Amino acid sequence: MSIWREAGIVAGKDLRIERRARVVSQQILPFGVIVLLLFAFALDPDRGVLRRVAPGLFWVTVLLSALLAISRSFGIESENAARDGLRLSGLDPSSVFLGKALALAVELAVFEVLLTAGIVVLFDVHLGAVVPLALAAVAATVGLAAAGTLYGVLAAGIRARETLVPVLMLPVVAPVLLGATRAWEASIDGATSDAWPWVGLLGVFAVLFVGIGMLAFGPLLEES
Amino acid sequence: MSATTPSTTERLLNPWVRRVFGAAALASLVALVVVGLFVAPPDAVQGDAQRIMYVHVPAAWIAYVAFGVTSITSLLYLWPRTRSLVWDRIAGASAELGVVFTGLTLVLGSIWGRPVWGVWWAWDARLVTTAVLFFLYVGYLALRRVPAATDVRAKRSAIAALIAFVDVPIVHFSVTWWRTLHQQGTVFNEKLDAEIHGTMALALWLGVLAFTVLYVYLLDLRYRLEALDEDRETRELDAAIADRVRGAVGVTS
Amino acid sequence: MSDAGFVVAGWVITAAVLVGYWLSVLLRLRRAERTVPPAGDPTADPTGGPTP
Repeated sequence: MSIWREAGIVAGKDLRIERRARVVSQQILPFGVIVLLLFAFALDPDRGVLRRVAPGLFWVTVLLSALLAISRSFGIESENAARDGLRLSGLDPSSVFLGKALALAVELAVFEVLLTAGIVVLFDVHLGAVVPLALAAVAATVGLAAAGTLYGVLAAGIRARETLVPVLMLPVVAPVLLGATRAWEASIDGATSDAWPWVGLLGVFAVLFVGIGMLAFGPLLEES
Repeated sequence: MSATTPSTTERLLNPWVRRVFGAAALASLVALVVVGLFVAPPDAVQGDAQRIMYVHVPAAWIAYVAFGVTSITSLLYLWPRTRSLVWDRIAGASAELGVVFTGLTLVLGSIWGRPVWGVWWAWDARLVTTAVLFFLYVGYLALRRVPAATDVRAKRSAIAALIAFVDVPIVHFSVTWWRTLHQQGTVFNEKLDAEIHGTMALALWLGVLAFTVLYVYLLDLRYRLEALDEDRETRELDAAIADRVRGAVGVTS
Repeated sequence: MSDAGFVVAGWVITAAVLVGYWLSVLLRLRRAERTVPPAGDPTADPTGGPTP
């Protein structure tokens, strides 16, 4: 079976579980919107501060929510010896990685679209150049999903998983936060030529971490 | 199990070489104090405050050396033909040294920045990258503390270290880009580099030498501790398993 | 605080951190050596005491 077909099977499984359990839509998305509200409480909503820093607040919120989504992605594998099932399934570990990362990316993408509506409404943001905005988001999301799946499996068998993954992953994905925020700031300001280099950086990060994930997922799954 | 447990003489340097390194570290550090604080002249622009550079730069150098050592030994551990727990122990020892020197670099950078920039922290590209490096180390050490069989821990830590290693250039590049594209007020543009010549250059190189020798000495010390800890953990695990077996036999007989 | 004050603070902190860390490793090492199996064990080897 081709690697993509296998990945599709794994992604389909994760997304079917999500469709039934609705954790992303009923828990993680509300979390994201609540965080936006908290930012409004913490900062001055009246003098255009929120509008100016909206890209940064948006991507910080995505990052924190991604931690929850990653935790969930591997939480479902810790019941019923599911990880053993993955190991013994005969599926190529690289495919399993791609599948789980794909499912995570889809969940994050839906989350981001809805959260974008949130900042447009709550922070009075005008989106500006949508193409670099969207491409930056796609690249950032793939990178986050890949890195997240990688650290998720690394910590999968560890009891302190939920506090360990953030401390391991957040420094590593700092460039994603940097790049996505700068790309969005540039796109919103209409300075699209400033956005493209950051989109490039996000793309490099994404490709790199998909590659690393495909290599390392197998060995890490063995030990989890 | 004794084939896989390290003997208690596991070490990197033989005792004589170790003593030489220790003495050399002490001597060169004393020389550094003399040259850096008294012999070298004050900087034309920064005055005496620039002297902090003679410890800040060596500390930063070792922070990155330690990180490099952890990364390379992690790769050597993962590579099947060179796999050996010696590499894993060095990786762990070097990481702890790395945390110490990276933390020191940040503190000294802050202390240097205060008289020169007027603030305790500035979003200078190098300071920010070093801060990220600090947290990469902290995460790595947290991962190493998770109870696990030695080889499982070694493999997991090695992979985490290599991911961090690949990430650091990206972080460095993106942060530098960010800070040069977004020049804030001129006060933050002032680079920490001073004009280096003569005895100032001597002091700087002396600092780099002294810290490098110290690093090697401390690495050996920390390595020995790592080997003993690993030995003890393996013995404790063997004892616990033996207890379990005895208990099970007792119940069924 | 004068410039000299910052310089002194920086160097003192450096000395304190380096000496402190060195002592911390040394003490932990001494403690670990004490838990090594007794001399009757032929695979054990007294390390002859670490010399700083």
